[in-house]
Amino acid sequence: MTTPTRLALVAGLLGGLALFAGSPYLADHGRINPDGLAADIARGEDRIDPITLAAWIRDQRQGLRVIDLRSPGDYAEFHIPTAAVQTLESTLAASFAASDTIVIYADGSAAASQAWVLLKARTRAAVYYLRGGVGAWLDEVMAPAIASDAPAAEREAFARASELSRYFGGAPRVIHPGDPEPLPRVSDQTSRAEMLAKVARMKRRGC
Amino acid sequence: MIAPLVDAGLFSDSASLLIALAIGVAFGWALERAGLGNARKLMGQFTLTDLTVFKVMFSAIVTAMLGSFWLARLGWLDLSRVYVPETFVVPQILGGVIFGAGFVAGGLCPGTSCVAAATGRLDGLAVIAGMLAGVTGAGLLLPRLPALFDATPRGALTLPDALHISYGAAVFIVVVLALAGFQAAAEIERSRR
Repeated sequence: MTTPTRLALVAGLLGGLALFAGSPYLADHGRINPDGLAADIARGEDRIDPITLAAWIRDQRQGLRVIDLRSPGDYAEFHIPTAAVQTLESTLAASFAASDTIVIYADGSAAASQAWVLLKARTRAAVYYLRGGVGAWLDEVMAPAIASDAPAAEREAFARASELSRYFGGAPRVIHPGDPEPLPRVSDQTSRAEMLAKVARMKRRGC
Repeated sequence: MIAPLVDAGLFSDSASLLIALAIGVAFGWALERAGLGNARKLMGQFTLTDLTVFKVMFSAIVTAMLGSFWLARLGWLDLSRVYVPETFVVPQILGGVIFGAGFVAGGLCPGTSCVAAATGRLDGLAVIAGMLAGVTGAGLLLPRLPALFDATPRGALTLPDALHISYGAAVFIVVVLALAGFQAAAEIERSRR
């Protein structure tokens, strides 16, 4: 038997066995790659910022699925456009295509980042959580603000953010000396009541 | 520890570039050993007198595919972290036509042109110059023609996703096609001698 024939037999055998071997993806067997997850976190590839998400939604990025992990009540009060409200359990049980891009968010970063780890163990889709959660969306997309004497680079970024903000009905503000103070920024330490109060104030303002 | 090993911090990004260079040199050596630094040999592909290119490239595809499938299935490789370039149907068909025309005109493709140049062949150098000019031109055109370059996006498409079949079935089909192709190539070469 010649070497090419032997190699062809080995290839045929391995190819035939592949039919019955099941999926080669770790996630399809509920396994995670801790080194890979750590690398994603170190490179910041586990999260996206609100402006990037806003651009993806506006540009109708193919396969984008935005999932709100908060309660239905909070979702009804305010949610990111195109988002669907789901519990963590139903999100983990859902079937996603490998080409999907899933963005999960909650009030802040903590709950969503934990959900990110669990979801990475269940799906091959690209998964991100929204850095800062819905509060960061309110601050950076719905009510971005900048001081009138900010450096040029910041003003340039603000111009891009403003365009997205207006698309989503937000109200970007340039703050001049003597202007009233802008709405306080939301952070991970902001309580749910404070967050809802900010939403209510924004709604009154008409954005 | 699960590959890709760069994620496990086994070596730095710069070290991974050096490893890539070493693998590239080994690949070039294999191409040269297969005679693919010679444009006349490559042209045999188009006149059906020498199907070495087909056999070498399809062997490489099958080896890499079976290797990555079984390494992943055994849990030694996280396949989801292996980069899959995005598919853009129309621009890639257009690029494929231009690439094919250049391949036929020059008798060399990007990899084999580097091999030819490394062994002192002037046609290899000419193809590399053309390739760099093409890459530069496409890069300059990129921001001016977003409607073309971003047309018909399909994401990181793989055969199992595109055909809605299991990964194992896709592996099996490609192996069968390769083995049938090798047999057909041998018959064609025999009939042309």
